Amino acid sequence: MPESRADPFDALRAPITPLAPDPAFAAALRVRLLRAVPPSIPEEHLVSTEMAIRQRNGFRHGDVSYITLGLPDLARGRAFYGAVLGWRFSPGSSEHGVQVDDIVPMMGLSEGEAVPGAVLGFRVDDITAAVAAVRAHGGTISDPHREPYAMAAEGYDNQGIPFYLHEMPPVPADPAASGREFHNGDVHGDVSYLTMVVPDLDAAHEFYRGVFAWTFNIGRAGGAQVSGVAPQIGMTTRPEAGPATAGVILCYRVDDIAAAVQRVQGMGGQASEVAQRPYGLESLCADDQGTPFYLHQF
Amino acid sequence: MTAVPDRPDVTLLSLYDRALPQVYGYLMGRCGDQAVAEDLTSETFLVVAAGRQDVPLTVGWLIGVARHKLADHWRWQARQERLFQAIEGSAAEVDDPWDVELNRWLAHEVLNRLASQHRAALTLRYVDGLSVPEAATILERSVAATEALLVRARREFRHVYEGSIDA
Repeated sequence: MPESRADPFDALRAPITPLAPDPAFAAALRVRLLRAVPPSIPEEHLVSTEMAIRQRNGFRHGDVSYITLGLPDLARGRAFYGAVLGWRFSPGSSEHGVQVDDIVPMMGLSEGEAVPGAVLGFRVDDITAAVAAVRAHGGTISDPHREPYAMAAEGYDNQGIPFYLHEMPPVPADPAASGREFHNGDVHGDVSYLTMVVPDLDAAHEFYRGVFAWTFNIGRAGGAQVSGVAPQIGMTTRPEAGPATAGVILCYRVDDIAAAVQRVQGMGGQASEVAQRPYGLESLCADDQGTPFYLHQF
Repeated sequence: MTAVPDRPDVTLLSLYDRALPQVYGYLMGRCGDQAVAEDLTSETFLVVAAGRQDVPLTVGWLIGVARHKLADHWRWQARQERLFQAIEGSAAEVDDPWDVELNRWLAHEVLNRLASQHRAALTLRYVDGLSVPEAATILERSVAATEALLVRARREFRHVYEGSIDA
């Protein structure tokens, strides 16, 4: 009798059975994908070669698009930061403000602000949706309005920290920065890091994860490193510097920290002794008007 | 508004809801471990997101990437196992004919207990139904080496399977 010897292993054959994963996993992976996909954009958005090389307004939803540093006296601020960091300036939209040229991210100095210190602007893909998200997560914010540079809105997070939003079309990451998780400035004078002082870390987590999809790596007591934002941001409830009020402390990258510290002191500012940190050399400083900041040499 | 050209992120993200249960289901069905399936699912989508944008995205293509990720995972696991034991015997690489009707449930259980490279070979060849040359490509082995691996894999499978029946 002829034996039909089918391969018994054929019994293992299994078609794909679709299976929905854990919803939290699915949602988290979607966020990672949103960040990972290099968006392609119409050519006309690349207004200059320089812009293509150095994006000064961040490149994805939740990145820092602009920083306003409010100082009591604008002229003193120009003199101090020009001397210490080599910044050059262009006229601002009023006599009370100037734009800092070239540095990343884009930044302006301003006097007479209701809130002194640094205020961050964040780029968003869809400002209507972002404003709704801010309100849904306990923040307060204006309705979106058109400004010459972008659709914008100003508000406060769920703990009263001011910020603003700019709707900007997605752009490719800097070629030099592609695949890099953290952005700490590329050249002398760039912003290397932002320290956000928050009253409550859990509340900050809730707000910034909800609005910008940042992820928090909660570390040492009272602190967290944030992933998914450029420049890199750290959150703390207990700052080393300045009054322990909520807000943002800026950090700047320098090529030669010893020389920069001398310039800080020469201009009437204060600088701590340079310390070796795991990430580089650091000095905690204050400008001649009392605004705290850090210098970093990597 | 200017017309927006096809954006690859729209393509992958619009595919995401449809592709996710397929990719995850494929991986979960073969590795049986939620944590591993989640890791490999993430890797699959992220490698596609970061990769060439000119490849037309389909669920089938994502499954192909997932299959490579699964093979990579078992290859890594096999290296770990070799630290503890030599799994590749030197017995003559010929198949004993085996005339049996496998219990599908038990067979998949047994598959999960095999050495990783054996599990990989049998999964690609039989569970996924690939040809030996196709499986060889994914396993990064020659066709002859893959044939030999399959012989050893079937032998281990039979040994474990028969042991399970006797138990």
